[in-house]
Amino acid sequence: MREVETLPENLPGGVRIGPLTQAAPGVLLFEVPGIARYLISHGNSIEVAVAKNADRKAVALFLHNSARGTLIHQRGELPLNAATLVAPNWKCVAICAASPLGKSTLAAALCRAGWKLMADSLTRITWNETMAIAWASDDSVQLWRNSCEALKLDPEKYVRVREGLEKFYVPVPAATTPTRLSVVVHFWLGTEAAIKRPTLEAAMTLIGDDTYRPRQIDPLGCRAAHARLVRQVAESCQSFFLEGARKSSLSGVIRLLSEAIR
Amino acid sequence: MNGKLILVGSFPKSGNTWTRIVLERIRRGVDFPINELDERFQGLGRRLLFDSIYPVNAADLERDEIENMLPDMYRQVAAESAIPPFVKIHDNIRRTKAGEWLFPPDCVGAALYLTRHPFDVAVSSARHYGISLATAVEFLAEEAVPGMSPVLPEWLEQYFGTWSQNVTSWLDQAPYPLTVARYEDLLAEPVPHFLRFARAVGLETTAADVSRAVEASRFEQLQQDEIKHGFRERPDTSSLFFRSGRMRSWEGILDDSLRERLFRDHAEVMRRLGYTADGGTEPWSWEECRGTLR
Repeated sequence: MREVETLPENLPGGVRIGPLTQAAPGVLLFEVPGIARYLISHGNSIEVAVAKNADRKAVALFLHNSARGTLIHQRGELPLNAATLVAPNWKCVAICAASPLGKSTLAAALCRAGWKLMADSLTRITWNETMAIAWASDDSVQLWRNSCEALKLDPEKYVRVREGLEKFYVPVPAATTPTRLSVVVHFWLGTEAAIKRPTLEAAMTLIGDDTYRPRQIDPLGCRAAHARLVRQVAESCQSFFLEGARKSSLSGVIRLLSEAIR
Repeated sequence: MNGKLILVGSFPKSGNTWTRIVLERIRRGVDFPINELDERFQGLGRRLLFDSIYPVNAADLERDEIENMLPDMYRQVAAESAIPPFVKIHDNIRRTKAGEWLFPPDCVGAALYLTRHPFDVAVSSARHYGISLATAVEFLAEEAVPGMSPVLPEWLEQYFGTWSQNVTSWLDQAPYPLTVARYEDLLAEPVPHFLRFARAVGLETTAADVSRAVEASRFEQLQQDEIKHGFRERPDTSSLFFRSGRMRSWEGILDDSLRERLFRDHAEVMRRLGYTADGGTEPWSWEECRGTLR
């Protein structure tokens, strides 16, 4: 990663794949207005042109939560929208969910119950010829003020993820070494906590849906590697569909999850 | 209309969902399931849509940054739509902080707007949101400003304005080809009014097709569909989304003081729409009303 003075307005040979985003095989350029432009190339380089007077915390946040996802795609690996933790029985569990469904809050509660965090919101998954491997990247979870308060934490003790945002880095016990991924849980809505087993095909669809920005895959030219890795993960890991993101108690969800991975 | 959005605007609880069901059944056939309504533009769907289109998560952005990015999100959805989506909107018509229309006119093919007597809106809101009638009356007068909450809600924030502000923003400011109907008129004479809506959004149809779509979408039928299959737009605060949908649902429920309060808050706009202080309606047409726009 390196900081540069400027980055091009247009990506040579690139196509616009959405607002503020252009891609070409192996290369992607995106911008966050007022913060920075990010050029991610061939899975081995991220260049950042920081806007004048930009909040440096915000620059780092988008590097970690967004540019890193593209970099993982480019390497033919799997960037999962997942909080990944190691359970007390040493099983490594990826809890996949869309951003608003509370996976960081669940991760923080699990850490209180003896689990160790590997990644908060975006997990790098690779394949080592025999098994799926989850990589550690975080030793804190990003929690909104109300989540801190629900967990009886004082948010003022923690560092804000960026100025002006009521969201904080809350340190938790963390694992640091790459670990075999055993379980993939897809966390979704529902008023009652319930756990279901999807078919292999459904599990593959869920993993595909829970991938960071699927719209980047084809323009980056990494569809084949992505499809292969999704199948490998679905075949090698237990998959569960966990409902209850909206209404059920955290303790109820944790109890179900713990029973499921026993 | 290809590559464009069709906006279906209203204050909440004014018949928006029913209207979209009828329009989809005119467009796609009377068997169109209620749970296949496009849900990308409301609630959690809108947040997921934002996160799928932009490389960054809404959760990592400030309120104004999100709002300023929404117009391009809608442009992108329009450009990627082979069939123009019906976009459910409860927001009032406004510009973002950056000065752009929230829904840019260049990606909007047509706009429909529904109004409903505020007495009925209040009663329906109380049931839908699980709040008291007095709170519902306040809700119609609430001039909440987005961005007040310290955390980003699960859905991206909407700004309804008051009932009167919502109506006047659409009637007086919408920079789109606009067609307006009162919910009460849709109920009383559904075929001509839905035919008008269908033609306004470019659907080639007949009165017979519209009649079949309306018949398949009677409230009793929608209730049965909801009981049998559930309905994705139903909030946890309400046991049924399709409850009564009838006119004068306020009778026997809203007391004099609440009705007086509603009329006091919204008298000017109610008169403009032919809504009377006794909870009834006077003859009204959009064509005539359009001539009175300020």
